[in-house]
Amino acid sequence: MKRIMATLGFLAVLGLVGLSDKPVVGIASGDNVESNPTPGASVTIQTFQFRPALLEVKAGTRVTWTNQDDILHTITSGTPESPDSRFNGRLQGKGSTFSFTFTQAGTYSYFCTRHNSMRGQIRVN
Amino acid sequence: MNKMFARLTGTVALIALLATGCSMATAERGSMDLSMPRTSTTKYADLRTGLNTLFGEHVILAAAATGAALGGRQAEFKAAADALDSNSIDISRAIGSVYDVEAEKAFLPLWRKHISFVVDYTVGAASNDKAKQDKAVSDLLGYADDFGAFLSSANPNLPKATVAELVKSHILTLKEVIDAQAAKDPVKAYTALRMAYNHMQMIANPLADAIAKQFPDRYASRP
Repeated sequence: MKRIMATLGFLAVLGLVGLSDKPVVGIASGDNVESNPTPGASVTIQTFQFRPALLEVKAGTRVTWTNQDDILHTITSGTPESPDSRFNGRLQGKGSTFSFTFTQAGTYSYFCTRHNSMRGQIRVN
Repeated sequence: MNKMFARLTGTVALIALLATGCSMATAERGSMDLSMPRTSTTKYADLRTGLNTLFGEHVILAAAATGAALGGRQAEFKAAADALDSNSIDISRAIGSVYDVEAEKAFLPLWRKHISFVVDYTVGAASNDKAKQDKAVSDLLGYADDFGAFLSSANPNLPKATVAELVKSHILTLKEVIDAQAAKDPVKAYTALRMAYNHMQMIANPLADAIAKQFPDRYASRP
């Protein structure tokens, strides 16, 4: 029993320290930012990344996400730690899209609920 | 007595030599970058060998970590877990050297995810929690589809379903190792470990082939 408890303790460390699903994808790196003043703007999902990770648009812009991965991703507003229910799109597979119009200025974070390291932001000016 | 001393001295010397060789190999592997220029006549061979080394190492270190955890050997477990994570980072860097740093950053959490599911399975095995084990297997099999989708998205020469099947085999061969470790059957555990290790070339080789096909200018020496 003691050994089982010790084992569980070690494995908990393994799960929580170093090997957990840590978010490592930066969302505001300099060369992964795109400004788009036009009414429509797009984000592509490929190899489990939002491209661009940070998109700048004007208020009133309709942003469309297109999934290029052959797997379900979601476009869920907020962060994994704090989803805010502003929008939630399910992109079932390759070629599927989701759109949302941003009417208010601000910075909107979003993520994929299935792959929490996938995070992006829309900055509305 | 002298005979015994001589034998002991010889053994210590052998162990020292072995340890030196191992640490040198580890240091070289730690700095491996598949994108670096080599003196080798074939970059394709470097790619293939590098991927086989990293994936083989992954299985050995995973089995070392689960074996130590199930055996209650804390210090050994921590060392194995740290080494396993270093191997995960090296695999991600290898992906990044072929594609880009963003792919590397996206790959690492995905790869670590399957290790966390292996941890769940091992916890279930340690506590005889069948439901936890079943959920971990289900999560791992679902993960195989994610992994297949990632590589397929990065490289059109890698069909998602094919990659997923290969990853499922990896998961099942590693599961055999953990089950044998939990049952305290070392003969079965090491037999399963050889199977799991050998299976990794079935992932590494097609991956190397697909990368060479995708970037013929960079890996032109593919036979």
